[in-house]
Amino acid sequence: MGALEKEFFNSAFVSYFLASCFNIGHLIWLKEKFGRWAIALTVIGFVVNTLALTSRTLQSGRIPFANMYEFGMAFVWGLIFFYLYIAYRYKNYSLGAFVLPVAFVLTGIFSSFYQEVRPLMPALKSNWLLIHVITAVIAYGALAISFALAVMYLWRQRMEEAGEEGAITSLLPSLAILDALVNRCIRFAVPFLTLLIVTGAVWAEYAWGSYWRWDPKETWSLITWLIYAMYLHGRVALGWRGKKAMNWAVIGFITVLFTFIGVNVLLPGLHSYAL
Amino acid sequence: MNEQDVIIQQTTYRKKLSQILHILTSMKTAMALLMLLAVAAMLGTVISPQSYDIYHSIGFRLLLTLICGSTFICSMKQLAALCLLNTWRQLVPWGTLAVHMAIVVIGLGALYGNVYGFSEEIHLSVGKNYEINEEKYRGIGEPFTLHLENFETQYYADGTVSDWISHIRVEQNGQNEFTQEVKVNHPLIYQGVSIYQSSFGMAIQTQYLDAAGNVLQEASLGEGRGMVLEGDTVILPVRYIGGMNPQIMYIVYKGGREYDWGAAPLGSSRFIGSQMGMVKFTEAQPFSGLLIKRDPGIPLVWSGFLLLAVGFFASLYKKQFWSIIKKDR
Repeated sequence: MGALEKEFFNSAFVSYFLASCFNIGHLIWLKEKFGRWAIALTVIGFVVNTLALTSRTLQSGRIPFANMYEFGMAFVWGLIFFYLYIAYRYKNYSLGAFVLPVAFVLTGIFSSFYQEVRPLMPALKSNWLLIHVITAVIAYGALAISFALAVMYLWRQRMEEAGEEGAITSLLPSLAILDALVNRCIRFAVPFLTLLIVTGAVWAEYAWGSYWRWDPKETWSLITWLIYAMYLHGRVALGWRGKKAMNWAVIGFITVLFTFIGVNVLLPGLHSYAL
Repeated sequence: MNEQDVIIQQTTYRKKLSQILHILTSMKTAMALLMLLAVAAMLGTVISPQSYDIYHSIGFRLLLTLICGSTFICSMKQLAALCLLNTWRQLVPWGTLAVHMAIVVIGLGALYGNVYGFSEEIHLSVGKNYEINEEKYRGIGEPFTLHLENFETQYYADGTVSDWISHIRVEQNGQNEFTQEVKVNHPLIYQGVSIYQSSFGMAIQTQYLDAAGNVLQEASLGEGRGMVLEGDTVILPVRYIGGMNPQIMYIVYKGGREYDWGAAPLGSSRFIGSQMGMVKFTEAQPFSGLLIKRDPGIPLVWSGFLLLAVGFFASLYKKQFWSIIKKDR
């Protein structure tokens, strides 16, 4: 069972990698066929990703949210879910050239944290685990999409400025649509980002007797939240649009990644069991 | 200076004051404060708390206070705008107001808890009592006693730890009130005081004796905690080894260097080197590290959290919200 689950996750990794290649190939050579292959591979990756999560759940007899590897699988799953939803809704799959590489790199990173199934340690034996991790999957998934869209915006803008407008850029949504989509993703994510911190704080109060201790994980989650709070103020009150707003979206997701992965690796604290 | 000059001067003062207030409450200042908080918080995770604890420094607390103050003034402005512009039928301004007020409420709750609450870790050996009373802890009302009946570690089938459990009996006025298993994620809450499972270990009764066997110094030590003797000598029980014939491994340091080491069975003494007295471990008892805590700010903080979450959904999900309502019609 354990081996099977690893196979599923590795297959997802390969599928996402190939989907990335076809997506980028689609943008470069403008072949419809590549685009279709990319979507097919993404769906295959999503299915085996789902199977990996399911077999992990069956094997451990609990939701697979106990460590970096398990949560990573869930996070990539959420990211691809959001991507497929947006792509289907806007009938534009060019976003894949930006989302799939992110998914592929993250899958690679998380598989390096692979762990055999272990029962839950005392601190994680709580009903708060489920809601805490679900809010994380939703918030981080949407923010990963906002990042991919912002990179897409910046790339398209550079192409336009260089006067290379043409076939490639014709596949990408316009700057105005990208700008609006990034904003939408962030506005969708921030309430969940807030819930993520709040549920973590309430849980910490019950588990450790303090809702806030400036533990590195807590502190970085606050920093991430502050970055997006600044983005929202800039957007609403200071009229940030275009490049400036996109840069904040990129910085925001970099802090998300640091909170999520960097803190566990570099800054030991109460949350370090999540490795 | 005639009367008119005074009035003119007063109005210029007032103008300046309102200008300063305007700058202090401007969006740019608010953004700068948020940025400053993010940078300071970042620095705090890089600098080790042993060398400098940023989060409890006066500067950092001042910054948090400023942000709360600025947020409060901002939300008052929002409230005024809400009334003046007659937008009180809309959800978004209320949501935004809720989010800002929530920050202030959480700040006040944290402050209140900091001033009127307490938090202390105690080590309680199996079979021992600990009294919680007014002298030690403010505002807890009638005193009560914690009695540690037993401490156990439970394991899963594969050998990893499943739980650390303190079986605690609460006694009041000489009567047994109730017994509860205290474990991680399951604190005991009584009269507003919460008791958390925080750590555990062995309490080792350590004695330093002279050559004739007279006790010169005595202490109850956890594994890895030393007893400092006169001069620069330290006796350190390193590890308790249980079983039929329990022993304690120890190291003696002198002038910061290892001087002697050995293992002593419980109850028998051992000479330290050739120039010194003897060490003896009379008793070893498992103890439970319990965090005793009261935070009267919690209801405020939790309300702030709720307001924050509700406010965010109300203010950022407006389009979806209204389009659903409209579709309904």
